[in-house]
Amino acid sequence: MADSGRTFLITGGTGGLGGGLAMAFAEEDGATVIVTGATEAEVTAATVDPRLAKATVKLLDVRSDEDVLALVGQLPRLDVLVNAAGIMSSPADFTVEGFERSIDINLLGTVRVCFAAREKLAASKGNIINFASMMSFRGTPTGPAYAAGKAGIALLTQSLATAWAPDVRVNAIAPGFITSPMTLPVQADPVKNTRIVGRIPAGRWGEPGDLVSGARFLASGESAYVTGIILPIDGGYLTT
Amino acid sequence: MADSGRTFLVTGGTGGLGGAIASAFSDEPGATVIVTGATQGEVDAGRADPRLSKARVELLDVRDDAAVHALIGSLERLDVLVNAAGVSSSPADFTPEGFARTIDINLNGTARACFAAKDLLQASKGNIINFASVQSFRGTGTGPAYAASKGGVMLLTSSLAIGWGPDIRVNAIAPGFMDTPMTQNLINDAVRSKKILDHTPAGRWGVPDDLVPGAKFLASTESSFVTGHTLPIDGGYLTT
Repeated sequence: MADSGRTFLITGGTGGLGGGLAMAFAEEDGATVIVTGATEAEVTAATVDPRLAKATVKLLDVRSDEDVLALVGQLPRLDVLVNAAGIMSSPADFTVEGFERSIDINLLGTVRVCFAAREKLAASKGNIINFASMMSFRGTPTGPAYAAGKAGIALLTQSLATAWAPDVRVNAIAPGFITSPMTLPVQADPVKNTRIVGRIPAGRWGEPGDLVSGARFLASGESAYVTGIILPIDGGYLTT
Repeated sequence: MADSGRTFLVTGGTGGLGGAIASAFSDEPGATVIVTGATQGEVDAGRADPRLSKARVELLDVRDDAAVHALIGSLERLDVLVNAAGVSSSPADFTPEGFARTIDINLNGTARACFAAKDLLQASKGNIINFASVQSFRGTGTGPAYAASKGGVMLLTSSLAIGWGPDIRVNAIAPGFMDTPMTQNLINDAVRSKKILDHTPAGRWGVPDDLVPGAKFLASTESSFVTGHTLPIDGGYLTT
């Protein structure tokens, strides 16, 4: 009962974490994988990214509902939607404009794609994997907009799971501290890095590949009885 | 990087849920699977159970620390410990003796097996899967002892994940309402059964095999960055 011939859409799939998942899903028998990047630069970089050699790369700013509907509308089918598009916390999280922008991308961006994809996923009895975070469960002094957006994603995930069951399963992964281009500055800061690793029972940063088995599990037809969960892949960070 | 040659101990593995997991693990190449039942009747039934044809069936009452140590001490190695031994809620949950008994089996019994297995799991860089429940997160009017014990199993799980990381991973699964010999009374009670299904987005009772992919995921070395987590497999029950 292995899955095959499925179509995957991974928003933000040109990035560090989304790209790792796109590469893994592309190995599935007969898979069609579409990844998106928010800017021409990300799309151009992705076309030479060896991880994405089997994927179709598209430009998509998830703030544009029209663009989201156009992209999802042109797919002949859709089995798995992964909402990996997002931005990190930043000092702008403390300004109204910055806060709104972060929510518009991370939370509303996820919502736009979910809503646009619903009919196709209902037709395929497909599923959604959203990107939550440890900050769905814990506040952070450096990113109130990030944390609020990710907390919203956790409850969005549970609510859509309830609303769209049993046809469409909706789950999320909550990555911990994962090495990626987005987190290199934190890793390079010895004070922050020591504090972070000291709080991770696994004693290390995660790698993008650490997300693969969890995402495969949630995307699989074998996890048919799993819906509405937020799966931490965090080296145990949330235990404390 | 498929796992092979591992030794699994599944307490309560003669039962409905533990037996399904034991059966799945015994399909892994070179696996050694030991399951336990709490009474001679369960052991005899386990030895005749086709699901357990590749497993060794032993008698173990997890209330007996000496017996737990004797059984685990007899193992040459141990890679994965699954603590599935347990009792359901019952009217006795409302008596001091019944309450203490449930805690002694479900919570202390799990702790006994974890503590006894620590050295072997450390040597193999193994992992533990405990049995939490949707009642780790929600109270129940019919089983205060059951809910209290399962709440305890969840925090025992995250605590041991911190205490024993990074060598030993400790996770739990939280089954929803599952169709097993232990739950036939509930399934046959039309009023209560309807109430449960109304709160299960998947719209059906779970079956023991629904637990298998989640247990395989947590037991796998591919989930090496996942520890301290309680994974619901509940058809979405916990979303509402």
